[in-house]
Amino acid sequence: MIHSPLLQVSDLCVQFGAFTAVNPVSFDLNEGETLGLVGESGSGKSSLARAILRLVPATGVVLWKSENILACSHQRLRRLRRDLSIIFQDPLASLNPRMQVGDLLAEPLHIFEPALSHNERQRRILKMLDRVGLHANMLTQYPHEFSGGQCQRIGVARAMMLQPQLLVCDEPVSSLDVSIQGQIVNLLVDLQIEFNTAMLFISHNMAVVRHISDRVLVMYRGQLVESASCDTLFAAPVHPYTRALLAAVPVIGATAARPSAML
Amino acid sequence: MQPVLNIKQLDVKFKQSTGVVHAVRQVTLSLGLGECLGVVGESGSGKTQAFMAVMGILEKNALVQGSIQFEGREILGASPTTLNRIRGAKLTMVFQDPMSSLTPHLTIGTQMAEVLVVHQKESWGNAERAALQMLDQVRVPEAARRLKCYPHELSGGMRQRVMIGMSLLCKPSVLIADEPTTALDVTVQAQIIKLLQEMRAELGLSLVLISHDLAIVSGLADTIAVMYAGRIVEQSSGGNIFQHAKHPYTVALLKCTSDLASPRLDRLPTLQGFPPDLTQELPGCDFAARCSRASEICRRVRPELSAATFEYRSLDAQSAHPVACHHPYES
Repeated sequence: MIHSPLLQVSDLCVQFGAFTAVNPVSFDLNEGETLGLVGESGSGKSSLARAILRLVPATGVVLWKSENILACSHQRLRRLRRDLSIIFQDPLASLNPRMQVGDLLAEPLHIFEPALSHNERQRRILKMLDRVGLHANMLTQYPHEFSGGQCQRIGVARAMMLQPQLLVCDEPVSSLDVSIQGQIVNLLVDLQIEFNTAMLFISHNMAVVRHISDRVLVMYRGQLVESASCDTLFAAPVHPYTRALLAAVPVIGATAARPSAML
Repeated sequence: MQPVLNIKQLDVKFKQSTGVVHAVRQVTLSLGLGECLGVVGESGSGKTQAFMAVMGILEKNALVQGSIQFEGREILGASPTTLNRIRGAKLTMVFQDPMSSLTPHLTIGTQMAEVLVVHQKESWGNAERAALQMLDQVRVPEAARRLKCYPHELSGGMRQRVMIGMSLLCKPSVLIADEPTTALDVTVQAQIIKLLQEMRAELGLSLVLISHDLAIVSGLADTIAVMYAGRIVEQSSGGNIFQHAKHPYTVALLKCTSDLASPRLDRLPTLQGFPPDLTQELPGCDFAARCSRASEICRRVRPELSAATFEYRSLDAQSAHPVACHHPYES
């Protein structure tokens, strides 16, 4: 049986004034699959991710289960967003500083499942809080009272509250300590398996991308320059930019940055 | 030979409404001429605070004790006038975020020239010529045009080059780079590390490289100090610490630092638990609660750094490898 992809992006363009952030880009994403997206700052990774969720204006077609996200009505878009979720790089900046953790987690439920009883809502919130490794007594605390890693756990909990079918992660571990990065990545993988969520995982940390992805897209100056299965890309990169990117990754114990890695 | 920077039993405490945070605890470090010292640890390990103390730029609620000698002179407790002659000239620091370290409403040229006008009483004309030369030296393309740019017109990598160039204008003997590449892309990161390395060779600079990423530090540092909860827990020559890490914390940190050379795993290795509350003084080892090798003695008796002073010139691979642990890994 042939499944049609969950998400089909074709000829997606993002333009800010005279500046083209994303040149025509096309790719598919299947159910439960993790697609890594790598490239340097300014290569258009975030613009691409935001365009898919219609958070920035874009042209082209983004088919979500054969419905064009870019062309549907705002009412319809709101309904679709129940299944589309995003986690940002800066965990503290993406949480409302004036809301307690409990309210932050309740908000998606209030919006998309208003019929839920108070007790049922609390049950779901507590279950998710436990799931991401936070304590129930944190419900009444504010974001600034948490460390970066804990804030990102709250961000993950909020994004996964409605068990979305697509989760976009925009540099979710870049601002975290090495020792914490692994915890967040493992948590994302666990939740993904549990809810069968497809993931678009943006990062410039190549080791993390290699760990988490099934397939990887490489962007350079707004264009897709390479797309391959994770193992193929890391074993035999074809595009010169991909090679340079991989060569620039620091290796523990290596004595010097290698000149070949310079762009 | 005298080390250019000599830190002895440095303590930094911050008074807060919730108690006294003891951020840096009995840190002893020395930096030789032309040497590169790497300081590694998680957020909150005190690595930045220790070197903010060296620069004398801590918040007002900080209490600093111990000794900091720069080129043979005690600078801890020195007057602001004395410090201002040294800071930014002989002893400089580059920070993580190159955007917030540059003044947004002044051109790159003005900001750079100002350093020479203030410290060396140069004329603005001469200072700007020197700034141009320096931008060339830190490999900023089209340097003359960039001098007229404002910080927001440059990319993150270019801004960090400008910061490094600015810190080198007065030919300092010591440059402290605090997470200089953390905010940058992998490819740009490699360029900045290469630049630091070249500047070190060209100018005979002594370098302190502070980072949470062992892989980055490993490329540059002659000696590495690993900090945990305000203390140095292990110190060794650069290459040695990776092959022969002794402290369980260093070993755990190394496991978390995945690179492309290690095999692809089902789960990423993590470090469980949290660092201790720095307002408390634990009787035993600060890492004991998270340590797989901890025994009863670890919770009762604090392990001292096995060799109290680390002589940078006596880097005999095995002999000079102090570690603060009751049950270190054998190398």
